[in-house]
Amino acid sequence: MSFDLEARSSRDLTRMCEQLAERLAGDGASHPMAATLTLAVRGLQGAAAEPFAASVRVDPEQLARIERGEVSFDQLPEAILIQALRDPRLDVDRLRRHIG
Amino acid sequence: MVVMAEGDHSAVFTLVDEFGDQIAAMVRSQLASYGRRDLLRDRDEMVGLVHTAAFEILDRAGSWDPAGAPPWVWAGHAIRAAVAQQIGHPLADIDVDRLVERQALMPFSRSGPDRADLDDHRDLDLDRLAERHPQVRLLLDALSVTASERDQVVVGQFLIQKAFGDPSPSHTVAAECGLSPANVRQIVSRLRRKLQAMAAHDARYRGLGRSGWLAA
Repeated sequence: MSFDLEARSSRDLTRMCEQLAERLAGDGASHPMAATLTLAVRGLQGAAAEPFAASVRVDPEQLARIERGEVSFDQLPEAILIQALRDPRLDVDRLRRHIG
Repeated sequence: MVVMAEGDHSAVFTLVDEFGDQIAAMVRSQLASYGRRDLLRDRDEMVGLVHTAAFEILDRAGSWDPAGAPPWVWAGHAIRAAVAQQIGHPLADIDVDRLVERQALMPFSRSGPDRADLDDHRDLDLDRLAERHPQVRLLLDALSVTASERDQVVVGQFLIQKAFGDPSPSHTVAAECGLSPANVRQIVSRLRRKLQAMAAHDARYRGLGRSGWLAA
């Protein structure tokens, strides 16, 4: 089995998001899934915080709050959600279902 | 990785995306050394283990030196321990705090039994293994009656390194214990012969003959 053939499928990186969200929740984040999704989108682009904030037209301070888990999924900037939905490695619907 | 070291969690995704193959190769090597070819064929397990390894790197990223080894090599001990724990390998009884309490484990370390030394040995606690595995208990018992405290540790660490797939266990143990690799090989060879003799002539230690290390 070659790792790179399938390992970056939506299911796999979504699992990784779930793991990171659990860790952030353990650290006290109020909205870990929104934070994780944003971190995943940015990380998979290999983007630093400031240029990413500019690309999604969000104030860097607001991005920092999102990534700290202080902003709910419903309040995520649309540009971040759109980028997440366009990334085939992420299953946004599955992550959203965790919100309950 | 530098970004990760600064506490940016997004980098764990970058790490897996860019270096997942290298991390997977390391995990595969470890699983192969355990004889767990069943897991090598289990794609979900493999992916989960790569993620586990990535999070181990994330947790330690702050002390990674960009001028040194790649992060998955640098964090190799921690990754091996986490993988062993996740798959339920017998060498997975990890309890650093207990090892810290047992400072006698490294009585002859070059720098003494400080936290850094012990962190390198977080992979297992032989006493806990012995509680669960009669073969390990028998081995430790035989070593305790035939070897000095130092030599017991040398042999124990040598076998652990071998179990983890270390291609040069004598060099690793030598560096950890302040000995030369030749010293380590001599100690291991001498004790192996003694234990083989015990297994052959003492009914209490007959079970040692089934040990792969002694049978080899």
